[in-house]
Amino acid sequence: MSAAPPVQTVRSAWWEPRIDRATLKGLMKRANAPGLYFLAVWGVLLAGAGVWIHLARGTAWLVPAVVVYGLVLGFAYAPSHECAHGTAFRSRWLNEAVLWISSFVWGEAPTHRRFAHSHHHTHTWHWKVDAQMGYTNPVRLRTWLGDVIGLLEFWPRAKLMTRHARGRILDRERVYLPAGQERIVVREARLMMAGYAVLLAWAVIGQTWVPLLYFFIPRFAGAFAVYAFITTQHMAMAQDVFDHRLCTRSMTNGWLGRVLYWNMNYHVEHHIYPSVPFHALPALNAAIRDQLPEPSPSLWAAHAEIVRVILAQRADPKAIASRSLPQPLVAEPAQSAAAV
Amino acid sequence: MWVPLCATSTIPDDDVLEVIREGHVYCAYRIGGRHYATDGICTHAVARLAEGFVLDDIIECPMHNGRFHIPTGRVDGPPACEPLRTYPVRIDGPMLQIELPD
Repeated sequence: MSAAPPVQTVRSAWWEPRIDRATLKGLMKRANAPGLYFLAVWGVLLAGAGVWIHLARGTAWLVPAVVVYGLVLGFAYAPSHECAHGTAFRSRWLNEAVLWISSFVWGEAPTHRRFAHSHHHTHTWHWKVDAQMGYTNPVRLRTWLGDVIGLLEFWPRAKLMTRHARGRILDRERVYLPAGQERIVVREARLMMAGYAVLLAWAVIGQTWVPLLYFFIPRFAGAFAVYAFITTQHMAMAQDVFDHRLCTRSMTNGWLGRVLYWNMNYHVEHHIYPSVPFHALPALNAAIRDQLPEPSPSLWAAHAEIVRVILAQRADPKAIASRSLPQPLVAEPAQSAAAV
Repeated sequence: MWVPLCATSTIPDDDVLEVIREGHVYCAYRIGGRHYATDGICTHAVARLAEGFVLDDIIECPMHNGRFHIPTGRVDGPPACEPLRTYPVRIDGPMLQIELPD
């Protein structure tokens, strides 16, 4: 018997913090209450904005009401993401039920979301490998703008779902989709599209604005809010490195941002230990903080850094967001790159 | 062929212990007082299961949260698709033994 690892695992190359095993296992524990609380806050905000839409009909206030409702609605991203990991709730059926509902709102079928995102965690921000890495360094200003506004995301997402509904899976998707899952992805895409069609049919046949005012229009009009958060996760960070502290960005958010975003502002921590559920990420941060770089102090600071790096990349394409690391790197291909 | 895997006293209660024997990674468990043994590498994406999380009789991979039923090795949650190999176990004095093919 030996203590040395006999095989290289997908985690072997990645930097890992020092943390007591018992502490980490304790952080991995699942619970229902935090997710239900976060969902309840989301629901209350959504209901409040929904009442505002109802009261504002026929007035100019309808526009801001729909936008506010939409920016809350867009945060369906967060429960969908956490449920795709299977860490949102201790109860499996609750996890799967919330996954389906939130993924329907978010606009991505659950099984494809799950496998593509698993691939993203295995190969985080490795260009032409990571299934969810949509752009490479140097980043263009218009890429940042398009990503923050979020509207550009809908077209490729709609194309993807339509293609899957037609039964077409691309070779590059087969890299992360096991053969047996392909028919499930196709079936789910058809189910989701049928759901959207039912809502549209309700609007047309029922001669009602309800599905448009409470789903389709706000989903577009308020998309920018959640995308403003998502864009910060990896943009303008180092790429092709095996250290989440360098390729991923954490930031400090206020209470509302943390609740709507399900603590994904602790994004470095989430990538290091995806088995730690969202509600334990602040505690994980406290346990390994001395080994992490400082997070961006706010959402605005994160975007200011992104824009600063993008502008710097015009002169030096290798410029990336700099991170001061408390201990030596395991892998450091980014060290040759200029830092801003 | 029965071979010793580890001392039962080294296996934490309701948790997992990684054992590397002749270059192969195993997981030994004591769940509700009963012992089990499985392969130690996730069938989905080559991660060490012992770095993961034991919840009742389920082991969850630390990398992508794929889940396996410890007594049978059946897949309990995606993205894992292939079952985990399990091994018959018995206790011989202080040692947990597993049965390997001859």
